[in-house]
Amino acid sequence: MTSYQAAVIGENLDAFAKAHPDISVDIVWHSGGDAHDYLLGEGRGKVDVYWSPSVRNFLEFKQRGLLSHLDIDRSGLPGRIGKQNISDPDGFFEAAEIVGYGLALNPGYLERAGLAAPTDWTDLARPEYAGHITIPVPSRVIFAGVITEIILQSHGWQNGWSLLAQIAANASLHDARGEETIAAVVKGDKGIALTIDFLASQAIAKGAPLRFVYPRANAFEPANIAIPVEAPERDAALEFVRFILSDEGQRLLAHSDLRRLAIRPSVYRDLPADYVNPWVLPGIADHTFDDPLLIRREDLNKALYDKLIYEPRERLAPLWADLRRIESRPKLLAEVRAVYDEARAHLTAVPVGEDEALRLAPGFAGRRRDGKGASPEAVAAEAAWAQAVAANIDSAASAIARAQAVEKRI
Amino acid sequence: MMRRISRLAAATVLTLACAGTARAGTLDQAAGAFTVPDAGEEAFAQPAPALPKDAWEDFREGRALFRQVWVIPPARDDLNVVGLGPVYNDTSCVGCHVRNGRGAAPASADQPMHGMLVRLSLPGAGPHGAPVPDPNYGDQLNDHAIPGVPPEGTARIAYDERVVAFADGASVTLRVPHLTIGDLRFGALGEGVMTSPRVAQPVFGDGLLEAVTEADIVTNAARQAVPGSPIHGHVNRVWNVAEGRVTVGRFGWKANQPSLAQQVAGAGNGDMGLTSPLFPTKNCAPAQTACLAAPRGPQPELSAARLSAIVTYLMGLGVPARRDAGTPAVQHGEALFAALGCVQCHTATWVTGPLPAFPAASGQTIHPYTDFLLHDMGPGLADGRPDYLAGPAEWRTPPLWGVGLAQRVNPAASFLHDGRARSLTEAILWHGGEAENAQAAFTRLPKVDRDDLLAFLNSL
Repeated sequence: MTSYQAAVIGENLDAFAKAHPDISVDIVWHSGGDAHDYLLGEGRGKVDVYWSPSVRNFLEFKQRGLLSHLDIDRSGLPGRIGKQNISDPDGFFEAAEIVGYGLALNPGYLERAGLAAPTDWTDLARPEYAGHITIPVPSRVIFAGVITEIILQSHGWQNGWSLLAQIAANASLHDARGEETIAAVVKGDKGIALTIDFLASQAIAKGAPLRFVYPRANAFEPANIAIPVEAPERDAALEFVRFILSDEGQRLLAHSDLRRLAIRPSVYRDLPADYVNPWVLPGIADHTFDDPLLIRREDLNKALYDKLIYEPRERLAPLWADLRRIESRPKLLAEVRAVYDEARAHLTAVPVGEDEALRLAPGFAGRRRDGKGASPEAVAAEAAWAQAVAANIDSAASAIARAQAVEKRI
Repeated sequence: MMRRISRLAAATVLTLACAGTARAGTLDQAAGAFTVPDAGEEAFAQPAPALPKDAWEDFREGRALFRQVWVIPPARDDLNVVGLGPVYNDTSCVGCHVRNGRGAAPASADQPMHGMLVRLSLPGAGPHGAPVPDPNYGDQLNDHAIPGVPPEGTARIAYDERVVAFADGASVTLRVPHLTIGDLRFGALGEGVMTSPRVAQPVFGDGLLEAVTEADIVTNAARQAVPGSPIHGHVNRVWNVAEGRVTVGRFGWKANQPSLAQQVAGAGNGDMGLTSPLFPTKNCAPAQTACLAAPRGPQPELSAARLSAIVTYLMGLGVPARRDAGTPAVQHGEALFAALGCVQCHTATWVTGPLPAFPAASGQTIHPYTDFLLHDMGPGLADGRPDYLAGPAEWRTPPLWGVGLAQRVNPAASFLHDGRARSLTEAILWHGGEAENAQAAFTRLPKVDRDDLLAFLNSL
């Protein structure tokens, strides 16, 4: 059972079939929520291997005793990158690949626009990048939730949301299909896209004029592989797992349709020189990311992003444009500066504190993109956030009008 | 010296051959406003420049569905893609149509089929002349199944080798396929069962092919029906489910599908087990009780809207522009292609007619190199399995546009209906029947000319 699309699993299945012609593989495809329900219900005793990018499911399946201990040789499999666990320390599931997050850049575009290439998330909030960025909306594009959490974990709750609001103020919000998040930079309509690494790497492998930058604060999210306790073909399942984790299986990740990061550091010496080796990225020894925290509040974060940034985007845009105009002045009078700071504070204010958010988070589990599926308390919280954000926007508009009036008077 | 002499000879025949072809103007633009300047591995997956803005959302939706691995019920998150199986050949469209290109035959008998399937039928004809399905296995062998349901069986292909010599002493080894069906779960195949292995075909340009009018296809067939001519293609006439009548077949290896929508819905039903408005019944034969009892998703699984989106996606795909069309080798190869008579079936140029379902495809001058007609290709390629009016040795002339990129898009891609040909040279050498003269003429060409002919094909 997997949630990988056909293009991703095809190379692996073909190679496995060649290596093990005696084993036939049937794919049961389920994305995270349905895979969860299937393995707990209809699919009990029917699944030999679960192979998917869904840390949440693997942790729960392990906790419920649904996974068997993986009897594999773990030499060459670090199980963690920096301080972030990518495999189960107890050996019930293993990372089969990892992906990172960052900035897909169109160097030609940036050069034409006279912009330096950004290297960190904070760079994207600078005024000169306004209009040159595209970012995915977490409630619409699954991996955007990880980017949100990276920024929250690295900058803290209040500052993180403030930074997210400022980046969004510079950007077009991409609310369509995830795989199209980099289309605008490939075409040269934008210079920077926040994205998951393999989308950019695949495009680069196929000739797109892009470069990809991994900001220091990052997450290397695993796809894991495990064998359910009730797997009917345990021996064949083990062969499959061993193949996926083998040097041969890991080298397949460099295929232009995949471009994921191998979890065996040793295979990078066989990959092209420009292939990113995450184990040698600067600062990787200190890298950390709290996956359980991501899982705990991911659905809440999506809702909060919707209320704070996505839904009021049409009201926010002209206000941020006014702010950008004001801040581009060479000198600001103290009186204007004070009002300007007040407006900025309103536009970046977060309507809920971190502790309260964590308390509310379970009620958001299962919230769908249309906002349904959340608990009544979560629905009420969302409504309150929307009100608070609207009030903040009103206050910001009022402050900006005052700043403009002061400027006019002068 | 040899190269110069052969070019002069070709220049002479070029003059003669062009007089009999329908092509006009430059052939660099393979498909009018649907031509895309892409020669990379995603060349068959690009939206056409002519794709209208109001079709983009459907195009995107169709693209996602075409790439989607379908889901078995029950499901709550992915209700739009529930319905795989219970028996099937692959889990997604792109699983067989790799990057929208052709599939591949397995390299040896120990490899499973991936990107191909085996058609089945019994002697005789069903309603409207359709093949008679096997009572226990239907009209194709489904070698995969969802958990709890047995797959129907397995199909393997082994190869003998046959050497074909050129007049200049060079030779090529051809693979002669032998199909074996085993592990049958529902008893023996029916008496006199006929089998036909098929690889998946490329899917780009199909909207343009649908826009060629039936009248033009029929007129071209009449033009070929010259007494004494070795080339005498004819149309297939097949049951059009949506229209409830027999119409000209134009898609599939034996032109047994009349429309792109029926081709998609038919493949969805036969290959993946999806019900649709055109094929509302699961592909479970009566003996397959677990298949019949398996849980179902919301019906139809491929709704009219989603079927329409896939059709829009396929109709909106561009056709790769030709490469190197102006080089002497390619131009010489093109002349040889005409002189050898290849163009008599691989008709270069058509002008599309009105296509109300996708008006952008109308009025385009296209160069698909097909005549849509069925031709006797001789005993070497015969599958012995008729399909409507298609005889046991007859095959539709497959379009050649994009053929030069086939193995760039899918390095494992192979040619002809069962993928036996590993190269275009092998494919040409398998031509027989009505194409026997052209094949024989090819074997008499010196290597430089054969290379130029291949350079032309690789420019498509």
